[in-house]
Amino acid sequence: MDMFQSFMSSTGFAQITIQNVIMIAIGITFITLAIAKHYEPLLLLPIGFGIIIGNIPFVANMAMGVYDSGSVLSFIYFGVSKGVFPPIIFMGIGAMTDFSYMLSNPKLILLGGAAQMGIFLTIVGAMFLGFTGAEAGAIGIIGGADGPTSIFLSSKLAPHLLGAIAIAAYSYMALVPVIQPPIMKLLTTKKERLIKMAPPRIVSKREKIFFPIIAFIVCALIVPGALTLLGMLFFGNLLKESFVTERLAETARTSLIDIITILLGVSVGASTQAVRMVEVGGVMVNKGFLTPQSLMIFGLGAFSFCIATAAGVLFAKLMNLFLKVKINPLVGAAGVSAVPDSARVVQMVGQKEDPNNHLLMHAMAPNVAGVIGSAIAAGILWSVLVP
Amino acid sequence: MSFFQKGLQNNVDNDGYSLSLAGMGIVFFALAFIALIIKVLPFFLFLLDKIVPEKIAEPVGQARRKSDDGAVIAAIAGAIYKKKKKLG
Repeated sequence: MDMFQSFMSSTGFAQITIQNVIMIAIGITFITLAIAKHYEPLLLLPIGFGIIIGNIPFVANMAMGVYDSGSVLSFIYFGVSKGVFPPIIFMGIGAMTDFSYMLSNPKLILLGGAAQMGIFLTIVGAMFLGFTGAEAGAIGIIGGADGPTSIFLSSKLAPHLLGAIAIAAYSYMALVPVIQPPIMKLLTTKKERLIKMAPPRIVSKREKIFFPIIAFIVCALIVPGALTLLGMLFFGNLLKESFVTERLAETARTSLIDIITILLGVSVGASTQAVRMVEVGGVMVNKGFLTPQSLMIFGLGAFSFCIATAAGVLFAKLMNLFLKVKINPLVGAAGVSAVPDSARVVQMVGQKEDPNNHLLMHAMAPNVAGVIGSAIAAGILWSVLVP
Repeated sequence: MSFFQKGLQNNVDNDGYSLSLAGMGIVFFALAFIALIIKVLPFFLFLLDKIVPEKIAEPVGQARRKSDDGAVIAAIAGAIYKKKKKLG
């Protein structure tokens, strides 16, 4: 009878709290958004299921959670907490990215730079709300709209906020088609949205091969902190463009990136335990997901995303004041690096005004420049704010 | 000290304003530098082309497939011929 009572008290039903129920509901919402709405399903589904895994209560000494040393989940989470997974994902992104649109129209790279304003204004906002410099840097990078970069930087600067930052970054990336269009329409006139851009020039094979090598050397010399992320990004791209390592490029952009995405998604989700009491200086402190800090991170993330989108569009308008051949300011919104979703949003908004206006290829230029820009920003913040 | 003042002071204490300005400047500089390199790259490659003309490289996979095509077709044709001969 004692054994039965002991078993009954160890079940999840006996230990579950209202906070766990809220988190499980959030997990189910993520899964629903992934399946029913197709919002970033490759990420939201593993994260959503991971949230459910992380919020099923278990007996304390069973060592099953991501934070329990020796547990299976802790080994998977090692790739997140030590920043191993993001560079591998960057290699896969590099192996699937075609830089030729950017190479054919280099002035559009500046739009990828302008959109990084979201990162730096959010840092000021986060500090205003009382976060430390390192925490503010980790939160600000959400504005880069780049999940792997956000995870990489927060694992270095503010590991205790990693769960909330990762969930916020991926949630907003999934919501790019919802967040961006109203801002783009608000900041542009119909006439501007109708601007047609000249088709990009053909880029030679040699340009495509030389670019990742030169760009990596330049970026790494300017910001050595970006070495890991940009090194893997440009290495992946060289695998693709060299044509002599097609097998490696194929693995990097398919199987490898898929495996890492699964492991990253599930373990990040599982790291969002609703309540996690940790002893800090003799006092028990809640380092779980359901804290006012997480809410502030979500608020700052939304602010960051909006600023990044607006800055890209407004900078395109500013450039038009000096350019003879105008660019469609909508492409500025693709400067946030959610590849290729924000470029698709630009195409969608442009085609609503004129179904014959194809902006996708033009939007890919600031889009991939945004990836480089956010990695550079992460490198700067890591160099300056590392505790 | 009010919440507003505290927030402003926290920014001053952590160099928030200078970090944002300098960070934005460096990102812009790095990307502008890359844009400049991309702009001059075709001229550099034009000169390089004169010294070492560019060969049109084909993916290794495709090249192998082309060279193997004849042998594969011959093997299939041979197998079909044998099968037909067996069946009469």
